[in-house]
Amino acid sequence: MNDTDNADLAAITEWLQRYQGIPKAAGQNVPIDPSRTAGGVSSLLQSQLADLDFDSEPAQYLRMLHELAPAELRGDDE
Amino acid sequence: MSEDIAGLTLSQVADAIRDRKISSVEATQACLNQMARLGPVLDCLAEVDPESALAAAAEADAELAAGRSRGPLHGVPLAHKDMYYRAGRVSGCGSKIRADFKPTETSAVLERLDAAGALDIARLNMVEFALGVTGHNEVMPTPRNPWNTDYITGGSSSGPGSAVAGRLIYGAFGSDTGGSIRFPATCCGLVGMKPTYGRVSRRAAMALSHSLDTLGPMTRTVADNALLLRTTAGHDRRDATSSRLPVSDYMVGIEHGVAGLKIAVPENYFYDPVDGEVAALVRASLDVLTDAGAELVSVTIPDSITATNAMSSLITSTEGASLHQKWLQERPGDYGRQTHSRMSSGLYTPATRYLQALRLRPAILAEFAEAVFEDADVLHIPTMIDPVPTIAESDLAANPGYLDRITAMGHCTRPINYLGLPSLTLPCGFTANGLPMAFQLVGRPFDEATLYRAGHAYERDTEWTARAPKL
Repeated sequence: MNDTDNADLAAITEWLQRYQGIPKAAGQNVPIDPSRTAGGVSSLLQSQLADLDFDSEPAQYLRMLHELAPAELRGDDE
Repeated sequence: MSEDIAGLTLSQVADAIRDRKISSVEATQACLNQMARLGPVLDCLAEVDPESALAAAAEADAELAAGRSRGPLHGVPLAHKDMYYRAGRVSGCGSKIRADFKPTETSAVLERLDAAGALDIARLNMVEFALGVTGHNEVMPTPRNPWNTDYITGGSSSGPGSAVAGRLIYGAFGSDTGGSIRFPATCCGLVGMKPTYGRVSRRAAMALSHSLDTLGPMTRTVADNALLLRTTAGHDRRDATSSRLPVSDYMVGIEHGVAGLKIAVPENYFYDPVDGEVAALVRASLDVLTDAGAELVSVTIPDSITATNAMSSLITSTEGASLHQKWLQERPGDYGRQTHSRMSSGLYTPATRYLQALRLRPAILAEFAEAVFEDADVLHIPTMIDPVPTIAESDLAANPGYLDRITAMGHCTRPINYLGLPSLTLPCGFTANGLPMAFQLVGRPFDEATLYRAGHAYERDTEWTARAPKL
């Protein structure tokens, strides 16, 4: 592990303790690579977000599921 | 005689008990005998209480003798993944942390199975907190595959896969957030249904990821599976995410066959990383369906699908971390390394990215549905990308590269959770290592009925679900 990695790990550990309440000792024992969660997915998300309607919100998903259901079931929907 | 009874399908044993050809006590004793003989070999049992199981069976027999039947599962012994709460009984969730947890509420699924007359005779082992695709558990026993005990069961519904395939029980409920019903169904040669998001109430079943979790049955046949889903699906006013759409009677059309059914076959994405031997078995299942009268339609999967596996993982780890934060703070050493690493990774997710992954869902679902279901009734795809591996060679823990392996395994399953679509997993043969392989039929939202109809037609023309492991 080089100096940059050590500095990154120290910063991550500090951030974990301050904002997520994870004790330093616990955080240091975990082989966490935050780029997996945020960095890795960010580029994929970015490419999809370009065409996303400004007003879209997560709750529209449930409505979409119902709209795509077979018509005979939708007829009885409340 | 006892093994013969244990070898019946769920529907057969339900009919036999109803017609009083066998008693519930005989069926339960047959399962208990199998559990005593094979439980230690397969490591699939978290807890079994023979005395209460037999007492419940005797009560069911007495009711039948008095002319009373509770429902279609009267007296049928079942057992479930150890994450379905029953008030006053331990629900360990495959963990050290909840090893003594006694819930105060009974899950909606168990309530509905109870009302239909089923017996709940054991708790089945599972991957720690349902977070894991291979079936390994670093803190509790790892169940073994009945087809070859050196091989994985798949996860996270590992105990249900092992117990149902091993003829220890007639059927079980699992859960599926990224493939956790479909992997063990594939590895163990079972029929597994991951229902539409919201089709089955998740009340009082352990949560992993509220936006993706689904609960569904794992059985030896399609008809058995349809019976269990029909019994448990439908609105629950105490689960805000459960749908108010009515539930079809899946058994009514199940014999109608696939003549005229249009099956979408993907031109891109789903087969990209799939091993040649696996792809050949999966594609061969298409021949069975076309011989039965189905029509194949080639479809191009929208490019947006490539982001869904990663977004599904992001949502799971983030929602999981929000549930586990207290234990991550206070009891980090009580988690297995992989569970802790994956849960902890959710602590780093920027809230904006998490919300964007959820905001994208309706648009990606609409695009996918238009591309696939505009001209087809179901989509036919693989479940796993490689043949079933051994326990030793897939013991990833939190070793370098583990996340890449896990991500790759979910290539065909996690996108379906992200989209929320129903998916039926069906066995389609055996790879050279002697382990089962399977494919998925994915349907429109809430169209589980069509999946059962197609699956039943496929099963009728093949022998895979009739085969049993020799133990």
